[in-house]
Amino acid sequence: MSGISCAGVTIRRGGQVVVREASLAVDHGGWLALVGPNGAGKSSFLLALAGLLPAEGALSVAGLDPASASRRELARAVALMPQQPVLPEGVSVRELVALGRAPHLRPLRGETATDRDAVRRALTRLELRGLEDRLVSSLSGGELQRVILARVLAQEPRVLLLDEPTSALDLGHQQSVLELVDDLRRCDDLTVVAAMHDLTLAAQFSTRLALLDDGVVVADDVAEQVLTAERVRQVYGARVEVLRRAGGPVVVPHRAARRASGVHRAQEQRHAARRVEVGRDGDDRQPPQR
Amino acid sequence: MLVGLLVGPADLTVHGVLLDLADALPGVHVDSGLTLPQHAILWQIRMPRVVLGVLVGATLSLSGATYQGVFRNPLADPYLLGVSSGAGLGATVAIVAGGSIGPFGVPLLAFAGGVVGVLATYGLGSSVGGGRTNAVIVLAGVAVAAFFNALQTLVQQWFDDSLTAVYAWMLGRLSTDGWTDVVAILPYVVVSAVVILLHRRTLDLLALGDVEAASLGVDPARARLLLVAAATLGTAAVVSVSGLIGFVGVVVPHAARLLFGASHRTLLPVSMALGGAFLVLTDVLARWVLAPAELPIGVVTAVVGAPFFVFVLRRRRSRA
Repeated sequence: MSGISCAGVTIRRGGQVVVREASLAVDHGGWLALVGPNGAGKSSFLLALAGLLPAEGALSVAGLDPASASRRELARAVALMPQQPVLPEGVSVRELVALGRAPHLRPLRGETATDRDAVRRALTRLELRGLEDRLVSSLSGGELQRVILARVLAQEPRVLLLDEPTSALDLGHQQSVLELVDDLRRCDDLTVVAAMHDLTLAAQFSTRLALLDDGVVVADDVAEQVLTAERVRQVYGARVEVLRRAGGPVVVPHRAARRASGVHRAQEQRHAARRVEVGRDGDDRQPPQR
Repeated sequence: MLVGLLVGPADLTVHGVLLDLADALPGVHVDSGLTLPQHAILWQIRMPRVVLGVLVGATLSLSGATYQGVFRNPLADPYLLGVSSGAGLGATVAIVAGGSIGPFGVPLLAFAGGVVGVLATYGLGSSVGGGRTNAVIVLAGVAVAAFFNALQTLVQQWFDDSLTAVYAWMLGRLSTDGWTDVVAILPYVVVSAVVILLHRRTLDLLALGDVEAASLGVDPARARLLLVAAATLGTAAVVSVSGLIGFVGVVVPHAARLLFGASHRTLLPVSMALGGAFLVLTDVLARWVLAPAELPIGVVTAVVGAPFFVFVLRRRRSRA
């Protein structure tokens, strides 16, 4: 059994309870999306699954108990893709990806053919062969995400934990990174747990979705069941419309039409005045956009 | 190294030295043409000094590279955690006490002081910050260094007749008492270097920050403690015989990084090699500039090192 299960898990951070009595399970090969407002405990939950934060309760990740397994043993089975990876200076793409092999290396031996092979395969699979010698500090956001994914892949884990994998990317890159993760999940039989901000993407890519609010799991089911306009309003304090679509529910933020109020009119007048001023100075800047 | 063997107040011919070195190789017998006193100068004075220079330079550079890696701070140097101030206090006490604590008083007390300084820093840092943050430990180092420096100044003021000796020690020098110093520090230096070199990959992982390092199978706190202990052992040993030779530990690893990249697998050995060579060469300069008098080697490394340091800083800023 190499999925994930936890029962009555409580996580404390700096004396404060950040996750309370959480019970969740993902089958082997599944994709669990963790959603919830900022500070709901998504990241803490991922860190606990990776054994990086102590947790009370019963926890099993890829058949290991993070509380008792050794660091190396856990690192061979569970990989974490951090939200904002640290980029050491002067390190090349290949060197950074090769660090994914660290938990597999024997202390006194160097890299073996197997290790070099795993690194090469990871680089090829994420189409990084042309970038191998570039310094990681010179990469764009999308390239960097692929490099970190390659490192995670070189680690050859059974469980992949992603902390907001697409927060720094534009829409196109968000989709391509998530598709990539989904391919890896299907080909390599990985179990994926991802903390995600975008509810629509979370619904489209996950097989199961857990909604956290202030450290408590308020809903845990398939996306269609979890994401209702009423629940999103309660948890996020947001006005949304949920459209039922074939690929999964689509959550659309909703803005009530406003009457032209006094404030509104005053703003319009200010903008008009600024446009006149800009024209007079011969300044060719665009008028400020709303 | 060869230059170090060739330069000195006594006149030895290049070709004589080379032949004498060749003669020392097993299975080779040549007549170097050096007289017996010249032979003695080569093997009992110049050779140990060059070897000592290599050991000191290599160790300071290796420790510097280690501290920079562990604390993820490019300006960290081997004296960051109070080795220098602790050793300074130890040496000052020993110098003030004179011969009453034996001929090895200065190195012994300097070594002990250095180790105590770092223990105090680490203890203070972990008790305040729970051992979690690098910043707390580095700040604790500042506090401990200030405290020990103050004590050292106090002792020095009480016994102001020892001022010159203390000052000379602080500036650093490679002494010429035959092989004693080399033999005294060799075990510590070797242990320190072996431990650090075996953990070169751990240093690469620590560069990713604690969370990522831990997710790749490293226990960051334990790794840091081990590496700092090893680097401190080497530094304290070296400082005990050579005094405070500055800048080597910062400048050399940076030069190595610029030349061969930041991966610790190459960085550590390259730093050691460059550090050894750099110190032998500066020692030659120190002996040669005012020959037959000697400049304190710390002065030479600082004169060469400080401008280089500024250069590295400017480079970093222009890239950022």
